[in-house]
Amino acid sequence: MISSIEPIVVTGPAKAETVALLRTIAASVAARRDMDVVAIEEFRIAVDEAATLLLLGGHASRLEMSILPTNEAGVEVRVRTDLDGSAFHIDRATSWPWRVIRQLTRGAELTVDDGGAQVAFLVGEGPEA
Amino acid sequence: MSQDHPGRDAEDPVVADLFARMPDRAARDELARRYLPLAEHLARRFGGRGQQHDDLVQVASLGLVNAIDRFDPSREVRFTTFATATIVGELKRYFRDRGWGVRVPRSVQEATMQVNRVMGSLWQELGRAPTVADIVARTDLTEESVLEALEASRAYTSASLDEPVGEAGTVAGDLIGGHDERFDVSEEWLAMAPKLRTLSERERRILYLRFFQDMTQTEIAEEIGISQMHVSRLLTQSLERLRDPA
Repeated sequence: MISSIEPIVVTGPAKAETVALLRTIAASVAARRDMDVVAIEEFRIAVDEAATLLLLGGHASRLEMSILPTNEAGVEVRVRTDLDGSAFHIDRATSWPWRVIRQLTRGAELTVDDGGAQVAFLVGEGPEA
Repeated sequence: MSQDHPGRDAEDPVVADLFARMPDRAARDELARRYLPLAEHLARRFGGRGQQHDDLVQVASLGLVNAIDRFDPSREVRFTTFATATIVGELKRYFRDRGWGVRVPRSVQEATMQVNRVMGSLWQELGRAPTVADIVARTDLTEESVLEALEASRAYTSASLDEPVGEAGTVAGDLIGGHDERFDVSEEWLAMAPKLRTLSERERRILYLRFFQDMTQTEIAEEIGISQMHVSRLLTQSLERLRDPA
C-alpha cells in the first residue's frame, strides 16, 4: 500500500478499555475519510473483532493499533499484541471473529511471529493489501 | 392445568403438577429454577443499553417470580407466553425508571437523539447511508459530537425497547434451539460462536446473510423488510452480545 503520511499508532494495556479507545480512534479516522455511517460502524466492528481475536489467542500485556490512511479513500489497519507467537492459539477455520473480520474488510491477514500476533486489513476504497 | 390446553407447558406433567401445588414454596422454587434460563435470555436481549447485565438478570428474575405467582393455569395461555410478557414488562419499567445509562451526559443524550432523527431522514433523502459530514451539515453539531453520539447510541435505552423481542408471534422459549431454515444454528455455527443460540431468529438470520452469504446491509434490509439503519443496529448489538463474556 502506498502512503505519504505517517501512521497513527495507539498502544495500551491488553484490556477492554484499550479496545474501546481503538474503536473510537478508528471511527474518527473513518469519518475523516468520508466513510458513511454504515462503513464507520463496520470498521469499528472489525477493530473490535481483531482485538477480541488477539486477546482470545493468548495472554498478552500490550495491545497496539497502527492506522494509516492510504492515498485512495481507504485505511490500512494493523492490530497487534506482544504475545509470544508460540503461545498464540486460534484456529482460523472455526474462529468467529476471524470470519467477521474477513467479511467486513479486504486483504485480511493474521500473522504470528516471535514478536507477537497481528491482524492486518484494509477498509474503504483502495487496492487489495 | 386442564388436559386440553394448547402449548408445551400443558403437555409437561411436571410443570402442571408444580402449578397445581402452588403456592407451595418448594414448587415455586422449582418453577423459578426451571424457567430461570428464560429470564436470563430476556435480560440479555435488553443488554447493550447502558445497564449492568447482573442487574438486568435480577430484574428479569423478579419478573419471573411475579409471573409464577400470578399465573392462572386454568386460562389457556402458555406459561412461557405469560412469563415473557411479565418479565419484559418488568425490564421495560426498569429502563423507564432509569432512562439513559448514568455515564452518558445530558448533552450527548440530546446529540444522539438529534443525530438519530436527522440520520433517518438523510437516509431516505440521499438513498444511501449518510456520512458524518452529511449529518454535521444538517445539525449544529461538530464532527466529534456526531461521532460521540453514534458511539453513545449503543447506550440509548428507550428507542428500541418497544421493538418485538423476536419474530411476530414467537416467544423467547421458541427462539432457543428452535428450527430455522437457511440460517439454522448448525454445528459449524455453534463451534464458532456458542452464544448464537441466545440470539433471536431474526438476529441469527442477519448474521448469516452478512457473514455467510456476503450480503450488504442494504441487501439484507430489502430481504428482511426493515430499514438499513435497523439492520445496522441489530448487527452491532448481536455481535456485541456474542463477544460479551458474561
